[in-house]
Amino acid sequence: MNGRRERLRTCACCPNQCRSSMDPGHPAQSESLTPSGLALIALAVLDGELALDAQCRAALGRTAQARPCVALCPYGYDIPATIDGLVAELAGPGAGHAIEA
Amino acid sequence: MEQNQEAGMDPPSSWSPVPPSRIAAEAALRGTPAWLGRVEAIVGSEFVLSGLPDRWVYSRDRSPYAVFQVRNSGVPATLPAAIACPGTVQELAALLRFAREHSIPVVPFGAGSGVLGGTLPVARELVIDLKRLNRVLDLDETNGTVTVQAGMNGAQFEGHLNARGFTSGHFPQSLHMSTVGGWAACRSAGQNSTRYGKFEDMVLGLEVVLPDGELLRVRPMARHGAGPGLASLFVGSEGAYGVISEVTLRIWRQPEARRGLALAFPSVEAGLAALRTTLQSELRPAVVRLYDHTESLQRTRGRPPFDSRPILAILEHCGLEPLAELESRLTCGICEGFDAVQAGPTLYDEWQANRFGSLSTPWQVKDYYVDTIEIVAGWSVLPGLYAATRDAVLAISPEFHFGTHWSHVYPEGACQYMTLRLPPMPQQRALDLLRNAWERIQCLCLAAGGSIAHHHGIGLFRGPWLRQELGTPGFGLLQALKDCLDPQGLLVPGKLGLAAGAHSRQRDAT
Repeated sequence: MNGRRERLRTCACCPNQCRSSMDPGHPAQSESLTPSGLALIALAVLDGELALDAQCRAALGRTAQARPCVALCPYGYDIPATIDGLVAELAGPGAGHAIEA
Repeated sequence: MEQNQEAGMDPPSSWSPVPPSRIAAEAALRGTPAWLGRVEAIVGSEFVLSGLPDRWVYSRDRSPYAVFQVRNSGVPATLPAAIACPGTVQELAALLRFAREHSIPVVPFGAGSGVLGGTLPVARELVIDLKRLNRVLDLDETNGTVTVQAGMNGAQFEGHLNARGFTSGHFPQSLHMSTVGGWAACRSAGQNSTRYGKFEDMVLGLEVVLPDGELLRVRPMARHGAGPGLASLFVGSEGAYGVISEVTLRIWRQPEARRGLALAFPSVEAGLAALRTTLQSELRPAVVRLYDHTESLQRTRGRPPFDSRPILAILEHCGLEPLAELESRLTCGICEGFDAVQAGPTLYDEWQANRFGSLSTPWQVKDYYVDTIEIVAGWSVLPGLYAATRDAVLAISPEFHFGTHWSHVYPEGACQYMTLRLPPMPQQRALDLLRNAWERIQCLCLAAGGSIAHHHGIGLFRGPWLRQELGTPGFGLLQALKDCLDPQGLLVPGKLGLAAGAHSRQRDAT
């Protein structure tokens, strides 16, 4: 398992002690915006369970609310940056090729 | 009237994985529900999620089974039809009215921290995420009560109270990733339950939206004698009888002092006897945790007092400084009478520092199969029940890791919290072994006169044992209430072991 997949898998399985740092005043409050939710979507993309369509790219682009969680991650991971990196890779010149898991 | 075609769908077999390919195909086939626009009209289109990525995220909770499935690139049950996020209780009521009119099954959702499948969609439900209902509505410093909306994050709620000098006294391990409403729906227990009680002991009043959209308010009272307690119908009902939208809770001044203790006992039996004597002496420690050999060793390896006394206990007393000091000293005296010695402050400090962390995650990531089972029994049977459950699990397979602690302790008995772990193996084999372990533990517990659950609830996976727990008349009463309040069985279908509603059963029979 490489670094990115391990980070995403840990976050998807983790109870997310970090999520109480998310802004309760933000109008949108949904699971998909949490680090764990984002990690779950990203893993599904890497595993080919979710297609890389516009909907999925938009979902993976919604990392802003999860950023405060980085400071509280018990594993020291920056999941929003990991997701952003994945999205950038998907949108980059090699996007048509197989994605490195 | 538009009918939801999946409303009467049976939930999938509880312990059988659903192949991911079926999920994707199913989702593609069914597409967008025809009623989506009506739901958008109720809460606003920006607060309705119907894309596949969002539905994927809501297809799991924190049940080990869901984690295994996620790890295996799958989803545990079925994808929900859509997710609605109401911003007011009026919108929540309108959603439930609409769902009833159109026979749409519903799952209320807090933060998805449940571990028994209570929020897993099994019939293409409309998930109602309550996290936008996240405000403290009133804090009454004179009466010592707080009224809070159901979707508020647990740690944010406690932080709000702390900033005003108060505490709820409720600290589940999931504090940071659960909601107040979820605590109420599942009769949650926190790590300080011995002093402050379980969540049902804290609820003074509540507001619930019934399945027909009507609001029912149970007014907060210190105590009352006006007939049966209506709040008890909903606290622990896991959404089967309605959706809790707010609760009024008892709160406390933040303790002036805390006194932590780590003790080393010669045996589990000595530790249990010491804790029983402490509680029955009317001392009220906030934290009480006794670990068996396996779990003690994980925390004490190589530390001096534990070479001769291998069993670890962590305790905390709190309150006014002289009282915390005195209670701590009295508890120590009782424990020393059972041959315990003090082990210094480090182990207590380590527990404090890591109390909300999950020990399971690193194992889950490495493809181990970790599950937890919490039961309750009286002091008179606990030592024997511990030995019987441990022996039964290890007899199923020597591959099991079996560790136990007792962490919610009362004058009459305690919660026995077991962690089971299997090494990497084919998932179906692991599920079969875990299913056998559950069956043996739940049956041994019932035979010993205990309860099958302390605070994880029933959800999807524990339903088969609830009838035995309650007896036929007791379970029948729960079913009759369900049939009365939710005759179509639309709220949390397949959960609590309840059958589909009376209307559905009638329809199926014809």
